[in-house]
Amino acid sequence: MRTPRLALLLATLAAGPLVAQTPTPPPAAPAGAAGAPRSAAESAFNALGTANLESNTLLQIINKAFNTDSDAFNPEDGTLHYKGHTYNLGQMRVFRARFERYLAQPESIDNDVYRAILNEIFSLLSTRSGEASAETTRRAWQLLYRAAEYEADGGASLAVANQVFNAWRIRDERDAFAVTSAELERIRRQQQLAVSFAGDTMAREGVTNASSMVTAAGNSVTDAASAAAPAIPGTNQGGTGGQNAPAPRNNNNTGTNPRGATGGTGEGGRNTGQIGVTSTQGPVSQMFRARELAETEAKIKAAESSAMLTGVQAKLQFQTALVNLFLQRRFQHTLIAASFYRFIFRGTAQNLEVGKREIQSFLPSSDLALTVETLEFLSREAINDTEASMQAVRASFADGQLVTALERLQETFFLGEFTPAVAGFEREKKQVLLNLYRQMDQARRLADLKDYDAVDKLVAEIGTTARDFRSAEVVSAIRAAQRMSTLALYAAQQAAASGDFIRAQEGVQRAASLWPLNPAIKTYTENMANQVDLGSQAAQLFDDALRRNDLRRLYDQRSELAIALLTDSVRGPRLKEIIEQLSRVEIFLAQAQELLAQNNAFAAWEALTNASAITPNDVQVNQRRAELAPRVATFVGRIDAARRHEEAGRHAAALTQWLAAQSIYPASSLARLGIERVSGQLLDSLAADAERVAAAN
Amino acid sequence: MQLPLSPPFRILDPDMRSLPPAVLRPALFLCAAALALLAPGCARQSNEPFPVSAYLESPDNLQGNRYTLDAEIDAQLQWREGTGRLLAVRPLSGEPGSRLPVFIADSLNANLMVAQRYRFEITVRRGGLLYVNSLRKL
Repeated sequence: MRTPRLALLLATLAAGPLVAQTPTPPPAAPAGAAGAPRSAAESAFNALGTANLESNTLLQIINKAFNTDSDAFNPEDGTLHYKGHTYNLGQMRVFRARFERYLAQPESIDNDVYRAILNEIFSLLSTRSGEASAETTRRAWQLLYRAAEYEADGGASLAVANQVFNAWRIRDERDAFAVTSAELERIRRQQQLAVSFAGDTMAREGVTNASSMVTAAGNSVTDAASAAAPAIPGTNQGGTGGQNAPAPRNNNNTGTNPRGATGGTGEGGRNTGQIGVTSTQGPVSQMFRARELAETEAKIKAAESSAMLTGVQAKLQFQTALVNLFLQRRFQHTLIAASFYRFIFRGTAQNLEVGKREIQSFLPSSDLALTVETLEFLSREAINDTEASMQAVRASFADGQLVTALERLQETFFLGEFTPAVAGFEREKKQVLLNLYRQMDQARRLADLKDYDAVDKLVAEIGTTARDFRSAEVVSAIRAAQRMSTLALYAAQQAAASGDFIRAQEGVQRAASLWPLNPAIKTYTENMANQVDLGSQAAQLFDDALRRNDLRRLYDQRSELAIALLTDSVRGPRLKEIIEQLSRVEIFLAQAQELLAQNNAFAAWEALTNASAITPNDVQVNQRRAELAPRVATFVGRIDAARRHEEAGRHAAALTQWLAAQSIYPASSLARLGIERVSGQLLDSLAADAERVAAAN
Repeated sequence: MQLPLSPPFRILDPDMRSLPPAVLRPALFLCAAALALLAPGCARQSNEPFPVSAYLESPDNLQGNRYTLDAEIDAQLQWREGTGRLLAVRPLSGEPGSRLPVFIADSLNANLMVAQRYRFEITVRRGGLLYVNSLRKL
């Protein structure tokens, strides 16, 4: 349970001193917020049936260094979630900068001296020996000023020292108030005696209305005391007011203490110049004496209330300083200040009056009394946590598990930034972790930019440094993203080839969103640009050749034209037909050449004739036929005659010629087909004639 | 191969006058005439021989003419029931190796086989069709 509690402590501490923590509503989807730019890529992956191929794994792994508890700590938006509450940790960028500065900061040579001073202060303030005195406290207080001179202290010791000094000053003021109050109390007692004596004397002498005068004088005293009482906020009127009931006391003393009257007169005579007590025994004098008594009592009340107010103020100020130190994670100074507090204020003033809500959140139960000892307990626990965590950091570092060490160090730094255990971490180890920290941060940034090649190299470099870095998962995620980008680009190319440019554009956009720096995208765009130029040139060439019926030229340049006219919905298919035609012609030409090599001129001629039927104007075919013609002249003559007769509808004559041609070259397929064809036509004609004759008869 | 169907007067060649005696001449003549009449396979050529070369050069020029064609059946090109059959025949005379198409109507009820030799009485019809009017096996 240490980690969540520690995390909560971190959260509260980061909220700032004595600033009310205002839980912000948890973000709807922290991962979703980080993955918003990836939504297009994810949808593309979903469309391709391979969801979640974005580099989430990479980001998670990289963020692991900043994420000690993925369920509670979100470094992206700087929030911490704990038991349904979200705590804002402030600017994570600032915190990261501080952490990086800590890693880069060389260890100060004064740290040992500083730590020794603090340890001496602790020793002087320790209650273990039971010898703590004003002198040891004063010595500890003086050492605070020495500790404040060191950079690692950050002025915290000076703040504690000033607070102690302030408390002492207030205590001195209270002592002065006590002296004043004692003197005033003495004067008040004299005045009371004087008033009582005068009143008793006048009563005996039968002064008319003496009783009413004394009553009037008593009332004036009471009024004066009442007028002074409201100046004491929170003063207990029960105790003080009970002492301020002069009338009954005066009544009790009436006529019972004549000796006191004499004494009172004498004393009153001595103090006449000071308090204005007269020796006049008349009613008027009595009235003035009563009035002076009232004034004295008012002064006493004012002094008492001022002293009390000063004491409360001192306690509140000291407690505020204590809570501030705790919330600033100055746990050592919290302990020092608490020790001073214990010596300065009495035991009944140990309850905390300020920062209750902040401190309460660290405790499992809400009905515990919050005292200065509570702050000490929490501070000691934080220091212990820090020391234990730093041991874990060193152990992980020694095992070569640098990522884990970095995680623990960051977590520990966040809590115990000002503790000796964190400050005393070895410089060379910090340097190694700093390099790892920067590499991982750079990898994370590159992953955000989807520069997978750079991430790949960086991850390999990190993998050689940190054994526990899961580089295989990162590389796998990178490869998956790269493959999906390439597949999307292939789809775009196919769409472009089929003339669907909208889908092609979508494919390219998808590929770019998955891997913007995909080199194939650049090649694709360059090819597309070249294809536009080639397309216009190829279209001109195609049209010219087709106009001249020069299919051979189109066939010879078929490779270039096929690419250039890939997107031409009219010329592309026509070019495909031409290429297929000429391919068959090429087969016949090769066949004729082979047959000539076998000295089978008639078969070669027939092959050339088949080729010529496909492309009558092909120069190459006609040239070969012209070369071969003398060798097969008779055969060719028969075939030519057969065709002429056939075209003229003279089927019998055509059949005769086909037979003659077949007689010359019995294996002739031309003649065989011609015979079959013309025979059928001839019989059709004869059958028709027979039917006509039959019909005529 | 042409059969030795020379007319009887060829026997009366002047070179042969001294062979039979004069008394036997009428008897020999009668015997020869009888043999000639009774000899199996003998045929008579009623029309002119078919001019194969002329036909091959220009069949249209022979349209309407009647000829006698002695030929060997080379192949049956096609047959249509009720109409007739087209045959390729090799003339026994004329251009060697040439083949000619002839049409034999079903009405002739001929039983024909390849390599059989026939004397065809033909008419050159429209388009140069060699229409067989009658045929006789040689």
